[in-house]
Amino acid sequence: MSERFGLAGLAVRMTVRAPLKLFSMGFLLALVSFLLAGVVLVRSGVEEATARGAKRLGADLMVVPQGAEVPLGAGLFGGVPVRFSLPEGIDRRIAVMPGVLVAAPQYFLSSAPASCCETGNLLLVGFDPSRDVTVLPWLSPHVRLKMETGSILVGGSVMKGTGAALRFYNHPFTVAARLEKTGMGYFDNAVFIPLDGVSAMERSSGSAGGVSLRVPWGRPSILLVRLAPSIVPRDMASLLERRYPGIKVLTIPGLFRENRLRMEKLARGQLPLAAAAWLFAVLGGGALQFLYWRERRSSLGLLQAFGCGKGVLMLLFGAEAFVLSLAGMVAGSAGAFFVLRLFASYFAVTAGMPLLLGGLDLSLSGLPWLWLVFAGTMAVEAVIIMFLMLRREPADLLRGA
Amino acid sequence: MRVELQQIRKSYPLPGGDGTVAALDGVDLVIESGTLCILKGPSGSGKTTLLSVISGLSRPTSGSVLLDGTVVRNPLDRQRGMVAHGFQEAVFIPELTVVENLLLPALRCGDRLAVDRGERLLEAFGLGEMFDVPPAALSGGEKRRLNLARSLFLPPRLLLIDEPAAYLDDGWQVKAMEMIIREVRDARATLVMATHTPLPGDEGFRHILMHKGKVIDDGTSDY
Repeated sequence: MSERFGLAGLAVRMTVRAPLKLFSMGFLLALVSFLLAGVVLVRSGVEEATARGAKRLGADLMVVPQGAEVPLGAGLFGGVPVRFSLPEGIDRRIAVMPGVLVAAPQYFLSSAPASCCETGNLLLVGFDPSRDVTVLPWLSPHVRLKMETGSILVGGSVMKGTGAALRFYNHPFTVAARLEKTGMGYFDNAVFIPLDGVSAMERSSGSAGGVSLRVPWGRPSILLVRLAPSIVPRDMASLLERRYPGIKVLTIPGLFRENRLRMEKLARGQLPLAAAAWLFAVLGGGALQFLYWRERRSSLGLLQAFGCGKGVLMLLFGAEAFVLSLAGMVAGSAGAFFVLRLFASYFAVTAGMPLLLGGLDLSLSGLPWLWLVFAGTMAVEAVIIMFLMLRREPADLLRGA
Repeated sequence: MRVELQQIRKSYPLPGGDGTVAALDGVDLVIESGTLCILKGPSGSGKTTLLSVISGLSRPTSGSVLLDGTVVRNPLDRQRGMVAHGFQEAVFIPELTVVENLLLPALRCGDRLAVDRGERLLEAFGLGEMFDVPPAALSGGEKRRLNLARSLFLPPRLLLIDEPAAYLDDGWQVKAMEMIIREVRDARATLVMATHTPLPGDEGFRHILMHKGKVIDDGTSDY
């Protein structure tokens, strides 16, 4: 037998033992919160990934074959294996141009699909460690690439730890380090192999009935160009495109321009979306609360009969609506976070946008104001409904009139 | 507790808003402290409304209710003054258990009543095995008994009970009446009980007969 309980205990009992009310209110707010938090999290996640990705590329320009922008997007943002090649010798010609500090070639290859005992469907990036600006500068000082052991680096989403063995085209490799996650498929889902290793892998391929690999040496997939500080990247891009037909030169901000435009559009749509969600919550939450209390009006009459004043009841059930709504909002936001985290790679591939979510606490840190606005609205609504209900006399409420 | 009603009128609007109907029509009544009183009369005569007005669950359209000579205005005042009301409808909060519903009268009083009083009452009303079940699990008669037990939970100075015998079988009618009278006498309280059926053990009570919202007879004779 319970010893004694006060008003708060009464409200808690009336809430937790009314699963329909608990579920419907919580679910409604969780749904609203899921949608809103989803938009906020996508926006911040894309911005974070874009900023980090742009920084990590470590270059001012990216040179790609003309017409390769679409597959490039799939490779960069989704980490999807793509293959294309620049014109012959372009890397050497650009490297010696005045104002160019480094021209780092990279070869995009794909792992052999469905071959026995190999990891399939990965983007393999062959890079030159002596000219690299993308991967090695970000490695921790204690990471050493030992070429004789076939060292490779794997992206943050590749589930292989340091020292793990991997085989590509019948050639064994050892994971030297796993890169930190960036939200960009190019970094997270790819395997970075020094050119020596690519060469060895090409030689090993085709043996024992395996798939042959042909590397278009001298025709890299992309060229990452770092310029002298005095050079304006856009001017150099125009110059290179004029001088070398068949190439497309992208400035790094230009590479993410489409993402930025989409994010700006999303940002503009955020306020109307929040307003629509608020209206939905007000109408839905109001209807739910009204129906519930209409059914329970005899309970209100009873509480009044036993001495609970109108103000106390309004405060009590306003607070109850606040807590329920707040719990629903937090749950919905956390749900959006976990769903996004689960499907971040899928999102990056299908939407062609990088996505990087921070920790749960960091990701949700911008949302409490949203939770408070919605929970506050529900509480005010509960108070208004309670006020309207309590205009009747307790005797009428007791009779259910 | 002494109850004094001065020219109490209570009217309700008719459906459709066409005028009003008088449930109480100028009731003047004085019930001295310690009186055991039965309100009688046919359905619709105003008994329930009169009890509601005394307990403060319903506000009179005009007139005053004085308890121990003081005008009281809301149910909370009456709770503090130890007025208990056994409602006509056995109404409970469905999310609370039987014992929690029994404890409701102590909610705002800050009373440190021992739970064993609740246990004793439930045992006495034959609900000893029902402490922790929801009220929905009770039969109609059990609900009526819980309703009566709840009205006796705080030692009252004025006990108002509406149709205590409804849905009770003969055995429980006698038993419940005995318990109510014993509690009232122990507490030296005033009892006002509405019923339109004769109750066992009500000899010597003051009987007030109502009809169409008026007191038409008042005395100790048996009706």
